[in-house]
Amino acid sequence: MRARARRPGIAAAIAAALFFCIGPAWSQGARIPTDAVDAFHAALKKKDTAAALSLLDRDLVVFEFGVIDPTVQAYAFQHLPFDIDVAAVSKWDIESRHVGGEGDIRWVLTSYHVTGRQADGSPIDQVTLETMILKRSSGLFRIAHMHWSTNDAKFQAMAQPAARAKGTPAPK
Amino acid sequence: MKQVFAGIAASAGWALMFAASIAGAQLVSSADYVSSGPALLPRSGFMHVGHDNIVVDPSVRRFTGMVSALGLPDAQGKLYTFKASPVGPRSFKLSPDDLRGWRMTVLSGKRFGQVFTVSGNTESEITVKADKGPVDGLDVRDVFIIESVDANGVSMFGPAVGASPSISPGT
Repeated sequence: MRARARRPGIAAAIAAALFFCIGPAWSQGARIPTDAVDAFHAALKKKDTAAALSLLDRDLVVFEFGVIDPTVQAYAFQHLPFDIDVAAVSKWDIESRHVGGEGDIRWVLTSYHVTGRQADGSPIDQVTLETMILKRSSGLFRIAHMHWSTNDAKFQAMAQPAARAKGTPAPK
Repeated sequence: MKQVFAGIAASAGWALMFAASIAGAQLVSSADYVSSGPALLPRSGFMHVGHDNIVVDPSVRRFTGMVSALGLPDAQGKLYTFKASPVGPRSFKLSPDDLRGWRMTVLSGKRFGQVFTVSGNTESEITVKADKGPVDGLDVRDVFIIESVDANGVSMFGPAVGASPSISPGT
């Protein structure tokens, strides 16, 4: 009798465990804004595409390298793979971080010292500034906007169209 | 049969439109820039910034595509197969079982963010394993990425050259 009474409880526990373990990837998010940002970087490092997507709001807009990814699908399709590749060969150390906002909208502003090696063996050594705006829905924060910039002067020069037209070599 | 071909043709059209919309959304013409001192500043105020200045090798192999048609459901009515149109620079012409064992992540639609493991493929058709459930809910025009990563998240081509063992910030 006691065993029978236990069965529904065990079944419910298993169902709950399954829900949390294999539920929709997009149901992740984070309760603390900085956790969402750090978990996103961790997902890139682990080449975990689904985990990275789970931390992105469906209304995501990304500004990166002077281009706009106007939808989360566009970012996931176009830029996310590259960001995963960069994360695989670089180390991002937080230099400073500011957190603001209130209620369901927060921002996390982070300066990273990024180091590593490029494909040709040349070093990566630059400061990358990151703006993340996060939106909370269903109690979980997800990234609604990302913007990266860098202090790499060579790159900034290369990125200007006039300089490019004159054949300025790509930074090494 | 005519309907099938019409559907495939329509899907190919959608694939082209999707590719064009991705590319078009990111093009910045010289007309978008204004003179400001020695350099040109974008009229929009956006600078070419970010970490795309870093040139790295792909850490895994990838195939990106769009669902062009759904396959036939199995005896239980579950769907595990679909036809795919290659879309994007990471795509390549498929040979049978090129993608076997690779990880597929859906990038749009109802199954956004869902992960499957490819059990096999033909030149145009992809079938996923049943262990993560059917692809029910997947729809024509949904886009996806398939990466050379196994079910345990391990790259099937070994660690990336020069990969650092360091962990990301906050972990």
